[in-house]
Amino acid sequence: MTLAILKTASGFWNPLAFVAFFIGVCIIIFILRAFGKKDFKPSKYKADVFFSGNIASEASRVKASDLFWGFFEAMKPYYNLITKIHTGIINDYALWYVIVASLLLTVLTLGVLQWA
Amino acid sequence: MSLLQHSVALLIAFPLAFAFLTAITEKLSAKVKNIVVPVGMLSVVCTAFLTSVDVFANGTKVYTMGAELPSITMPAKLAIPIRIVFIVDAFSAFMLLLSSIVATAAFLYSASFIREAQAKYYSLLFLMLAGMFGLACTADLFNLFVFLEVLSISSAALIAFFVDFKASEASYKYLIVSSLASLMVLLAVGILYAQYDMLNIAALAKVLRFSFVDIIALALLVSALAMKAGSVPMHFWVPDAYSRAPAAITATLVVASQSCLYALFRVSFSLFGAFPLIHIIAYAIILLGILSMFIGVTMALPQKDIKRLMAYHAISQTGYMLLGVGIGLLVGNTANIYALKAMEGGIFHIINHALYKGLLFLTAGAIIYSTGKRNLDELSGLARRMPATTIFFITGAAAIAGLPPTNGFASKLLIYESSYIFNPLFSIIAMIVSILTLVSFVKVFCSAFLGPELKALSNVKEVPKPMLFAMGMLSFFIIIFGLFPDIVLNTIVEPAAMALLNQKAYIGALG
Repeated sequence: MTLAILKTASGFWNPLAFVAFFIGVCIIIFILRAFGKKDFKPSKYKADVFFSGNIASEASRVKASDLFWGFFEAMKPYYNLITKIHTGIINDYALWYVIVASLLLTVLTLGVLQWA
Repeated sequence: MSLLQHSVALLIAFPLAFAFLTAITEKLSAKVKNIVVPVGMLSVVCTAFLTSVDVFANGTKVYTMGAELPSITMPAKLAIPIRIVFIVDAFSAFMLLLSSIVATAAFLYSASFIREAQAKYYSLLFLMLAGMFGLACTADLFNLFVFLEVLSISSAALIAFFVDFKASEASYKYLIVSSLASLMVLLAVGILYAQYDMLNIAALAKVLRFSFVDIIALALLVSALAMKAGSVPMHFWVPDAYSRAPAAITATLVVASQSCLYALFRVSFSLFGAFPLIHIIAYAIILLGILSMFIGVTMALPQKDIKRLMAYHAISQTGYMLLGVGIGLLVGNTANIYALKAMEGGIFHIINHALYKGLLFLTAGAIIYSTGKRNLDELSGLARRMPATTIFFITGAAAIAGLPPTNGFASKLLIYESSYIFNPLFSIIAMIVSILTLVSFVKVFCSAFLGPELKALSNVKEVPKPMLFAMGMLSFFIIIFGLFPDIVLNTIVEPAAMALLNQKAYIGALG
């Protein structure tokens, strides 16, 4: 199958082979599932969301801001620094442009001086 | 003489004409306006598509405004091109193609999403397209500035389309940043014009002496265009503007930022490509790319506003493009296979990003449209009520995280592998950023689509069909580009990369 093969600098990637493998795995899962209990009857509880063994309620749900708490605690020094830079003040936006343009010009000037 | 010969002129003329026609017909009759807008969009998109196909099939197109024949770039008895010249090479055609795909999706989405002041909205959208197409095709530095202004002003007006305090503030900030960038571009253009008496990029590239004043112009152009592309540390306007604009406009703004990225690459490769110290610019672009990738994704993680989170990811993804193309600029020739593949990866990522980021912003818009909420803490269990939007979100999220077999994986693979050869750290950072991107979108998926249904959201319904169709269209391209990356790469990406790397061909196109 040469169609869809993406040639990289030192290898290749065949998405169709990946999809074929994925479909194969799905078929195996469905076959295994077919060996399950035949007398199972779907109940109204089938689609309920569980959280730590209990049916999740509005109060017990995990909010977006609760997720990855440990990561943010561990990265606190980084986030303190990075959020301080994001001031939302337009003057600072312009200042960062000036900093980048000046740095670029300085490096280029030094390069030109060395080159000349 | 066929109409296709004048397609480059029509690329600018159609959106400009329909922008004004839409505004005028609104005053005459709403029914006429309802015909003019789709006809206009169809004409604009078809022209862009046909021009791209023509360029990919037959090579670079040169068009001179006001000449007896469009191919005559030099007026008689003059040694320099003084007319307005457009050079549409494969990289320009690539930009036209991606702009027209996203514009079509934005237009379809807006049919249901925008209910008020439609004439004003579509007029400005046409102007945005005129700016983007102009930027992609112009071979003239002053016109580059003009199209940058057209794009900035129309974008600023559209960011503030939903007139509220935050949207107005975002628009104001965008306008200030854009004005600063445009002013610096104009200053650089003035510097070059004062020295060489010409504005044509190809003609200038032939005579540049790389004096100290030229270097100032280069620094001004690179920094200003990097700011307009949303590169860290000049990215602060991006979350403000992207999060407050209407969803379809945010998707178009992604392409607008990429048009500025296009201008940055055009200046670096086609204008200053022969500069002996261009590797300094290449390293600067790579550094901006690495910073954009890492700071963008780490700032996205703690966000609760769904569109703001996605806006930070847009910054992060821009980093991949800067890294890939920066490596190409560093090597500067097609002989090195790793450099070429890095370039291809960076350029492939431009179109992939436009597709999946456009889709993700449209899904965010669908959530806001249906629930009226944008805070992830106030959302839960939407997968039951909005199954189609959920599927589209999963498609976009998988693509941005670079999961196989999506298009995002194909372009990122090229970047990972090629950048590893130049510095393993580049590749490691790029992979870590992809993992963090996945983590961030798992957070959005878990909090917005999974979990128990909230009483406040019990009446939520799926969005109207035109909005679903627009999201479906972008999902279709994501899947096709992911399953057949070789076709996309060989047909449009590789010619675009070669066009960018071959400065002599760009100069030679002028005749």
